[in-house]
Amino acid sequence: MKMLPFILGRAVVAALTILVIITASFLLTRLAPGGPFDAEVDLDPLVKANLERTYGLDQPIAVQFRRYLGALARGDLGPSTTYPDRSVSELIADGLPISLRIGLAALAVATSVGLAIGITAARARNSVLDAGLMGAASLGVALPAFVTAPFLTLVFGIYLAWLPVAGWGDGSVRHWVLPVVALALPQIAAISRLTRGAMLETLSADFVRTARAKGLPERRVIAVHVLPAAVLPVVSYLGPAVAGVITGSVIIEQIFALPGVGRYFVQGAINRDYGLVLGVVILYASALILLNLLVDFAYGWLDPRARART
Amino acid sequence: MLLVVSGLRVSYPAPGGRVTVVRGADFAVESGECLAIVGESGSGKSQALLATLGLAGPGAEVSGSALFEGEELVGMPSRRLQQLRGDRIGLVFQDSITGLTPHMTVGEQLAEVLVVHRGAGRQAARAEAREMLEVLQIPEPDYRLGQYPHELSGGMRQRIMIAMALLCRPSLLVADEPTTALDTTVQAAILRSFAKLKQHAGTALILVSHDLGVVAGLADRVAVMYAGRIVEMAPAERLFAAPRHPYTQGLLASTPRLDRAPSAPLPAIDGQPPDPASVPEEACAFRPRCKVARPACAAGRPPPVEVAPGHRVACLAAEPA
Repeated sequence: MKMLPFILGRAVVAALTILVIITASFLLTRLAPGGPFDAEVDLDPLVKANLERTYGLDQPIAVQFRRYLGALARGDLGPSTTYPDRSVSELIADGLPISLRIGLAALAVATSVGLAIGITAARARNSVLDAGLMGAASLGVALPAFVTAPFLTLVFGIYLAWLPVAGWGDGSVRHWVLPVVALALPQIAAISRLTRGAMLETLSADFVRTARAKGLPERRVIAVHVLPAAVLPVVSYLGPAVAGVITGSVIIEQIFALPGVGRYFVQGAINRDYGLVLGVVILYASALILLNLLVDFAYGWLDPRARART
Repeated sequence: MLLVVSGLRVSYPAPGGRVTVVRGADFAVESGECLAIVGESGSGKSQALLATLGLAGPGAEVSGSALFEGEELVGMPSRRLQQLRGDRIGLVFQDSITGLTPHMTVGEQLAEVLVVHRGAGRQAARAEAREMLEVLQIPEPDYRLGQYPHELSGGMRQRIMIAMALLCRPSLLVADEPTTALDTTVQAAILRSFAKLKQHAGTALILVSHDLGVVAGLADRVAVMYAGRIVEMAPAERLFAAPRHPYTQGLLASTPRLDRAPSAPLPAIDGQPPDPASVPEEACAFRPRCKVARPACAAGRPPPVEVAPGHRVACLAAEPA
């Protein structure tokens, strides 16, 4: 496989995608009614004009966009109007470690638990266990995070009082558990359903019969012959799963009052903090694109037939 | 006798009660002998073998007896069956694109057999796998070992599968439609390698096929299966020369032959193979399609009768000669 041209090609496409996303978000945020200095009590028009001049918001949109891209090229995400004493880059640098930890933990939990449930259900096909697991998974797909999160808080934070209700505290695992679980639940549900389907399909493939005919122990048949083929759809789903975790984290960080990036995103949007919203959008878009790229590589590694095509 | 199967029954769960697909099959194979089991699809010929080897689908119920080298296979713990499969008993299926694991190289899939059954190291297993490819006269064995199944032709995939089945030098090779998906020249080459195997290694061969032409050159004895039972069994030459069961006669008549005018219409057996769910237990299953059926055929299932040495027929019309 010719690696370098492939990687370069993908990198160009990724950069273009991000540029399109930046342009669209830039225009959309500015088209939305209101601005960063509109509040319930109107500012003195002179003060407001002064502020807008400071942030360059008095310029035509094309000029603002050009300036923004110029700064971005130097790695500067610009100022935040909500936190005037801090830059968007600083805010993201503060929140990112927390969001990243929660997000990656949720993904890891979702993948491992989802796979385990899917495999168990597939091997116990059409049993009560299978029906129970898949029923729960349907429920998990249907329930949004803003329903499960308060419910989890109520049970484990208040009634049982095992875990903190909210907040990051000292960052210890106790504070992670509920947000990670709430974030992972819908993904666990989706991945386990996907895994079950893929397992059942693979189990009926001719090569599984061949593997059994060779007298391989059942464990080896599943682990070596079935699983690598059955996880392919799950690997492809990791892209959308990351998107789900990101959008979920916006809500979850709000509910659990975690000082992550998602909270800034919400605040930025409410306060029309253009720089902050754009900064977070760029971060999310890059994360998604990067992960999809990784998924493509993993796919080629798992499936020799895909390797030939790239 | 290497394998003696008697009174074998196989049934599957189905909506509205179990469906029996094999209803009391009896056959046996000796070392170095080739037994062919022929019949239309759905006759139970594959099921009879898969079930005895523990490869029947979920929910299958197997009863009767199958003695392999003195060991009873029916009801044998699955771990012991596993040890026999791939080691003492090799299996080859009809070639399909997904017949070999797509994400493993040919070498990995071959070596695995020796690692599992013989506890061989990776290197030794690979060397032995290479040797087996040479024995089967597969060109460029080293190159083949590094290839993935999708890079192989159908004929090559099938030869790899045969190599896989023979790695542990089994005493019995079961080949289920081994040449059905292949073109005629490849088919001939594979049948030749089976013949050599039988002759030199003394491996017993059970060849399951719907194609009498494939069977003709290779089989020592032929068993004809219909609706889950063996209706006729005879030494190959005798069966082709003097078939006694009306079904066998129909099958032979409907096989295309070079010594007949190509324009002559090919005779066909009237009607359809029976649905396994509605085969009568106490009547001849072939009766609805039979040209020589008589009232007595509906009254009871004809017992197998020996019409000549080694030639058994289950038909009321086939009185001893």
